[in-house]
Amino acid sequence: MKKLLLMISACIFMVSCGGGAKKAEPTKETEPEQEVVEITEEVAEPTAEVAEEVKTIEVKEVAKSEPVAEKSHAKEVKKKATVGEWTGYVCALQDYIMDKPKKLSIAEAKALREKGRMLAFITGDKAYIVYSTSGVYAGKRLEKKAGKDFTIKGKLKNVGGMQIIIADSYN
Amino acid sequence: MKKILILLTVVFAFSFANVADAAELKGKIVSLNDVMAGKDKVLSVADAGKLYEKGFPLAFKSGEKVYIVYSTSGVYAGKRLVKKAGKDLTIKGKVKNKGGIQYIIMDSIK
Repeated sequence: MKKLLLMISACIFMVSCGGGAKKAEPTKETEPEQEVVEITEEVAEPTAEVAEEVKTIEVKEVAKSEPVAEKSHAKEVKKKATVGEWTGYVCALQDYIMDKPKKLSIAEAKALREKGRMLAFITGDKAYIVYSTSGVYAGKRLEKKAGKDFTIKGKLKNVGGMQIIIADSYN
Repeated sequence: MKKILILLTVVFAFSFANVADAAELKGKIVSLNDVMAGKDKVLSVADAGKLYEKGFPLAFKSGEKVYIVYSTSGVYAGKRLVKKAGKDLTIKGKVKNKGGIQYIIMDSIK
C-alpha cells in the first residue's frame, strides 16, 4: 500500500514538473539597443536513408532590421546547417500530423496544393518542409515528384524550431 | 484495491500529460517564405490572402518560434489565419512537435 502511494506521488510529481501551460516568449520588436543574438541550432540526426556524407557547415547571416522599430539594429545570427541528401516521398503535412502518412500521387498532391494545403517530404519517421535555394516554398516541385521515392540533396536548416530542407537538387 | 489504485495512477498520469501540451501563445501571422529569408514582416489580410491562394505556407510566429496551425479536426488552418492577419493574436491550443514539424492544434484564436 505504501509502495503504491509512493508510486502515485512520484508519478504526479514527475508529470507536474513538466506540465503547465506554456506561455509565449516576449517579442523583441521594440528593443532599441543594438544586440547580438547567437542561436545555436540542433543538428538533425541523419536517418537511415540519409546520405553517407553529412557534414556541418556554419552559415553566418545578418538579419535585417525590423520595420517596426525606429532605430535599425543588426542581429548577427550564427546558424548551423547540415548538408546532406535524404530519400523519401511526398505526403500531405496534415496526414503526417494526424499519424496517417500516405504517399501521394501527382493528382492528389496537385489537388491538395491547389486547396492551399501544405506538402511535406517524409523520410523515415521525420517530415520536412522543402524550400528552393531562392527561398521559395517548393510545393510545386514536390507535386511533380509525388507518387515515387526520390532523393533531395541540399541543406537542412532549423528555422524557428522547424526542420526545413533547402533543396539543391531532386533525383 | 491495488488494481484500482494502479488504474487511477495511469489515468491521472495520462490526463496530466495532455494538459502539459496546452498553451496560450501570443504572436502574429507570418509567411514562412519571409521567415526563411530572415524578414520579420507583418502581413496584411490582403497579402496573406494572396500567399494562401498561391499555396505558400502561412505560419504563426510567437517570439522566435514558428508554428504551423491546424484546426482540431486536423486540417491546416490557413484560411483562418488569412482572416486574422495583420494584428497581434493569441492562440490557445496544444503545441506539438512531431518529426521536426512544430505545430499548434488550435482551440481558439483571438
